[in-house]
Amino acid sequence: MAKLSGNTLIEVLTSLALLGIIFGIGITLVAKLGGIYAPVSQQWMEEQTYTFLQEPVMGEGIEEKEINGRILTRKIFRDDPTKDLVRVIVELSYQDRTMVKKQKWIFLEE
Amino acid sequence: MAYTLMVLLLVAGILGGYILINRSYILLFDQQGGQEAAWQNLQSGVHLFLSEGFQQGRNQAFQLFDDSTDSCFIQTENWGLFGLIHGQAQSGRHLHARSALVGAKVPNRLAYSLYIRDVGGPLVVSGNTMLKGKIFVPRAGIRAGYVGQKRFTQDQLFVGDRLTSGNNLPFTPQVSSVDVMRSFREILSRQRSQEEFLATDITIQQPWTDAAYQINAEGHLILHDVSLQGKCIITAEKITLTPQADLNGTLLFARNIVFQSGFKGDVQAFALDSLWVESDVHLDYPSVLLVSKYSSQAPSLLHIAAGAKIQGMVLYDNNLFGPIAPNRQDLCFVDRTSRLEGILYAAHQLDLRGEVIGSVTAGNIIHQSTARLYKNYLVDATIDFERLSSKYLAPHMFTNPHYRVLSWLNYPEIP
Repeated sequence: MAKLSGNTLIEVLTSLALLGIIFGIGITLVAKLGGIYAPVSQQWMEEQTYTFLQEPVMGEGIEEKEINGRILTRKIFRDDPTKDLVRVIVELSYQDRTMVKKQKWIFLEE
Repeated sequence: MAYTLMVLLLVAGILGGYILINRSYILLFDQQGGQEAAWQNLQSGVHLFLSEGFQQGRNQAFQLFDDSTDSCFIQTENWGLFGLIHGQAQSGRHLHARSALVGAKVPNRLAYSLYIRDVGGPLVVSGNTMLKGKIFVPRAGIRAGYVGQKRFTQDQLFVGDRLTSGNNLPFTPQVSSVDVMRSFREILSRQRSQEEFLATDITIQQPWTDAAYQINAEGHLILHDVSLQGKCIITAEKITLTPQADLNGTLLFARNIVFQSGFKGDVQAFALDSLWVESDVHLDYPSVLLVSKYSSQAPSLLHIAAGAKIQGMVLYDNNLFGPIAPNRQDLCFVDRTSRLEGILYAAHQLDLRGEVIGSVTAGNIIHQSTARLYKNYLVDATIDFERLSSKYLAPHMFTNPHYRVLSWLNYPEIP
């Protein structure tokens, strides 16, 4: 195995570091542009789940939508049929795995 | 060589900075997200709690969902005729605490514009009286009539459904707050005093979770240049509020209460003998004006002058101290150009000339002109329940109502 001189080693390391930065910026850009292959952060998934949780509730039932290949499911149901209180559960899943789950209790007319 | 090292240092600096910014951003997001989740949990907890009703002194700790990371603790008390909730919720390691005022939804059976007890004879409408929505009138019906030279000017007697009222009022307000009755009894037990006290240059900001800040005066207390925010109670023989007084959320107890012209604020005012709201007084939601009759000898008076605007409830009752026979001089008077948004309940005589966006329940409707007293006459009044906001919540005085959060209390500000 050929030995690298000190200067060459530093140049190689510098080049690798620069490549790393370029790669990082590239990944960030892809993520920003979106799409099914875009890597998503935990923060992004939390925000999507929270936004769906806060959307107005019109009645009981199950709603589903897809964003960037992730499935968002919202279930609205009563635990006690005598009350107008409903439970809202939103789950974000990817390839059948639940990544984020958020829930709340609200009165149906609100 | 030196050039390469410099580039390497620059690259290391950029990488380090990038990692640091990312890390601090994640921490900030975690902190904000956690606080938001705890606040969401508090709202969930209060909804869950209120779905079981509201009772003073009912304290409860419970899990919100199926895990142990989301929990809530609720304490309750009464604040005048409304409920007061102190909640604390947890989401993971984040906590959020806040208080809320609680009111009751108006039951469907009481969602009417007008209910007049049937005391014989029809309801006579005159002037530009406008009735919209469901109305309950005596069996003898409703007709147009003259008051002096004034005739009925509308095209229709009413717009909406007409039903027949009975000999009794459809509900008796259940003022369950022991604090209100305790304060009334304390005033009645005091020696009468005409001494005047001027309260000025006072600023109180009392947190809702603390004990109430109390001002007691044995005599006539005049509030001028006084700012009371939060949990404050004033008790006196007579209370006068000048336009320079700034009160928000305060409870007032006295034999006589006067809101001087130009006063603005939101209060719950409880009077035994009389309550005067002078012209251009604005009482914001959720204000309460209550006159409670305690003796058949003493006349009680609730007077709302022209231009006054009240959002909340006006209650003129003779049942809080048990059934008390009305006095001929008892009167709830609501003058022209005044406007009430909410519920007006007058167990005895009501002379209504203003506008009510909400419902009116009256034992007797009268119109007192300079010349004579007209019984069962409604002159120049406007009543429309359907224009009342769907978010309106009344004090909790109905049987088995649905409770809701009326407002989250921001004072003192949550950091």
